[in-house]
Amino acid sequence: MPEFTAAELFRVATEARAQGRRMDAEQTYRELAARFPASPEANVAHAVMGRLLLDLSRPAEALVELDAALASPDTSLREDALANRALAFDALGDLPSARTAWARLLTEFPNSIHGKRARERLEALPAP
Amino acid sequence: MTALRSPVVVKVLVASLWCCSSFAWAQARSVAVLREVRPDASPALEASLREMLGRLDVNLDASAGDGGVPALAVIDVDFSSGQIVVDSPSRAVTIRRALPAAEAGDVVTETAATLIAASIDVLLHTDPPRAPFRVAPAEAPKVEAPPPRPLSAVGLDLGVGLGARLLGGSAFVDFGGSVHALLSVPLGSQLPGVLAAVTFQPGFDLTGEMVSLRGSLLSARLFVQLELLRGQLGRLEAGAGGGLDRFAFTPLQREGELLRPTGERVALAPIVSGLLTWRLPVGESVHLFTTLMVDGDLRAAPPMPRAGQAGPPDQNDPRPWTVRPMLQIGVSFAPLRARE
Repeated sequence: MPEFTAAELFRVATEARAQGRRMDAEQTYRELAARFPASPEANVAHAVMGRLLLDLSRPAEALVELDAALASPDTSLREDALANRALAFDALGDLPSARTAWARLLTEFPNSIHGKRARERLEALPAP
Repeated sequence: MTALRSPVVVKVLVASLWCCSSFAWAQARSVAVLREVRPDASPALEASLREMLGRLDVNLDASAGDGGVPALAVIDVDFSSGQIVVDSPSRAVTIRRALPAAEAGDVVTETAATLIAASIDVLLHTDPPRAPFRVAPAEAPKVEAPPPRPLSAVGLDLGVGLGARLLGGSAFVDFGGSVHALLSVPLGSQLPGVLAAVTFQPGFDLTGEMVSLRGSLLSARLFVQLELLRGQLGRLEAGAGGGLDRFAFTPLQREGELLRPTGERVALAPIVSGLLTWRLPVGESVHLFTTLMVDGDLRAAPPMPRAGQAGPPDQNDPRPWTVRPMLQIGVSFAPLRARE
């Protein structure tokens, strides 16, 4: 079996997702993250898969991927990963964690494009 | 025009076709327009973004035009400068995102798609969807039915038809056409009328042992007719009248294997006639009709002079039948309606 580079695995996963083959995409993203955890491709893969799993109503698995994306030094998708993480807690019904996550987003990105939504959620969520 | 012939059995097929229309209703979804990608168009970005936006119930329009559809967002991507602009004119919101400078290739393309999708998600959730942002099916202009044409004191119905006639002797079916005009006057519950009709057979052959007759036939008729039945499936009419048949023919004398034509001749035959017509409405003033007409030749033995021979006609000479049936189908139009 040929050895794929991170870029090649990333391309295969991206094409699978774009074509709607989500199971193939997920499997390849995971392989990429396992074999090349420090690669720029792995960081984007975590963020993309986090949102994909959130949209597929799998918020717990989404949280794992989003946390992995946030652990990366690459910050290009950090703002959106933080917002998706808060949404994942909302979806799980973990309201304290959701509140903490929305607050963290506003702390790190005070002018976030997700700011209005974050503030609305903070007003709606019960205070600790 | 050549006469068509078939065995005695006359088969008339009337086929009706109903067309069904169906409408495909597209689900109303928001639309994001990918207006410009610099320095070069990126099919990979388009494909990736299309899938991401699809999860948000947003269609991606990559035709790089406004398309005349109110868009949720218009997207410009410049990979050279690392700038992404997601503009929502209808919401007076412009979101600017920055791409990482250090990245390249698929990573930056996927990053761009993710940033754009997140921006679209913000547009969807920051403000509740408003009517202009949903692409609704265009409302078809109302087409008002034209007012029914006023009824007149008399009705006029004009029609054309095709018919098959059994002319005689050799029992061939001769096909032809017809035109008619029906003038009717409402009288109580009845709609009596006068029907004038002209039918023609462009060609016929009457074959005998020694002589054959080849020619054409023109018939003129005048009928008085009444309605027998009226219902949702149309009306049944019966009529009685008469007219003339004009035979123009050439006798062909058989000489061995050859048929030698002689001069063309004309014969007129006085006719009494009866008919039954079924009219099926297919529009406000349009009918399909089927008519069975039976002619009676008033000459006891229709004379068809024998070619090249003097004297009375021989029993073996070909002649048209004294009673000649005809079946017609056609369409008629009523420029004047006496009533429905």
